[in-house]
Amino acid sequence: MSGSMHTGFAEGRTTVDPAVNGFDPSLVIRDFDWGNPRPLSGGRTLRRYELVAYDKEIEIVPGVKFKAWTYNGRVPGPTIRCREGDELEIHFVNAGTHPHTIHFHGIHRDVVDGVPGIGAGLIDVGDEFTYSFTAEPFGLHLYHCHSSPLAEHISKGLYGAFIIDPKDGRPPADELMMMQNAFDPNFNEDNEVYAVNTVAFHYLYRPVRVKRDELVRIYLLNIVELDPINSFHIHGNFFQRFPTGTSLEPNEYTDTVVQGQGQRDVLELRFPYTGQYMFHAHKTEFASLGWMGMFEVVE
Amino acid sequence: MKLAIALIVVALLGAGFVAMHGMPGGSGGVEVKVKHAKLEPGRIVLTLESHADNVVSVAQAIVNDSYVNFLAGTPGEADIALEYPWIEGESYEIELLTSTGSSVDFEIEDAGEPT
Repeated sequence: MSGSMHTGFAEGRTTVDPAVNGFDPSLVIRDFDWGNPRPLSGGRTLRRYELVAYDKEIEIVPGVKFKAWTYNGRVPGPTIRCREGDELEIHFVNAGTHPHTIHFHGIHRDVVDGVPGIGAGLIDVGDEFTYSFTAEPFGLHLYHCHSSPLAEHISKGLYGAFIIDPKDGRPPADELMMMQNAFDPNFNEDNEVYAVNTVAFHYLYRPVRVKRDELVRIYLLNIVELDPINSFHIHGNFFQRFPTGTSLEPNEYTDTVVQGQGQRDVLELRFPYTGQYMFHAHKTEFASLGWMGMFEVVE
Repeated sequence: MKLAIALIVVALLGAGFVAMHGMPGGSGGVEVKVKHAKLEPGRIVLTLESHADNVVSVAQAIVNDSYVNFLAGTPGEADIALEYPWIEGESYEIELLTSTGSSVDFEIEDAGEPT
């Protein structure tokens, strides 16, 4: 068998052409949506975002299509970014084929929690709603559809990262968003495709380029359905772990982190040496089914 | 068997092959199935059969939860050769993923025994 026996994945393969999906995981990883900002009294900021849910067929591993439900035509949806204390208005339009919502993790009133039966509840096909709340607490959070059946609405692609920066920010870094996700294209209740940011093996063939000694900050989330845990492991390095990103003090120095469904961590590291360094799920089944990538460290 | 494999694309990429081939059949392993498997050194050769008229494409092959390279047969043949270092006496679950995401599933219970 050709290919690396460590990865169990043969050489000679490639990734999905980003033009097919209309989004590129190599860009998604550094794409942060700060919304449309407007200053408020007291030095605060109002940020407005637009999210539209619609159905879209995407390619998740070369040659295999999946009928996804998306926010703004991509999976994961836009990475919503703001600062603690910002006032947020997320205008949501349901242009899909099923009732959807947006449920944000964070602290807010129940009427904007995006669950059926409370406040606006389900947003019917063709309807729209604006979720308004104050951004708190700082950290790495999620947003996702909360319609029933919940697993179906999430596993089809209706989710994204929601980053609230501390008021004074974090130290400057090369920042990366990695959404661990998976797909069950044959609906046998067993995922066949695992990835970071949707396309299996993408970062193996399009390595994430970073600079030697520069601080790298990874916003790591796990939205995988059907499997209770996931994990992230890096080769040739260790990282500081900030669980949920809600503290500025790390609680662990390690090379592997395990996440349950919906769990998040902010990871910080520097690469002392140039070269190629793999990262992947240390649940090796997931790695062999697509959750595998590479850092390319350059001067 | 009325199977008539039509080779659509065979792409040579680097050291290995990614092959896509069309075959008459449906989805979910219902209308297309693996007729038998032949174990050869370093690879598993599957013979497919179908009883449907529509054409689907096999885009990816999975053996024991790992994507593997495979090579489709020449036009008119029904074989798919999966590159896999199988071990005598062990079992293998195989999924052929079609372009639509459906799969053709097959299990080798005891490698080395006639299948």
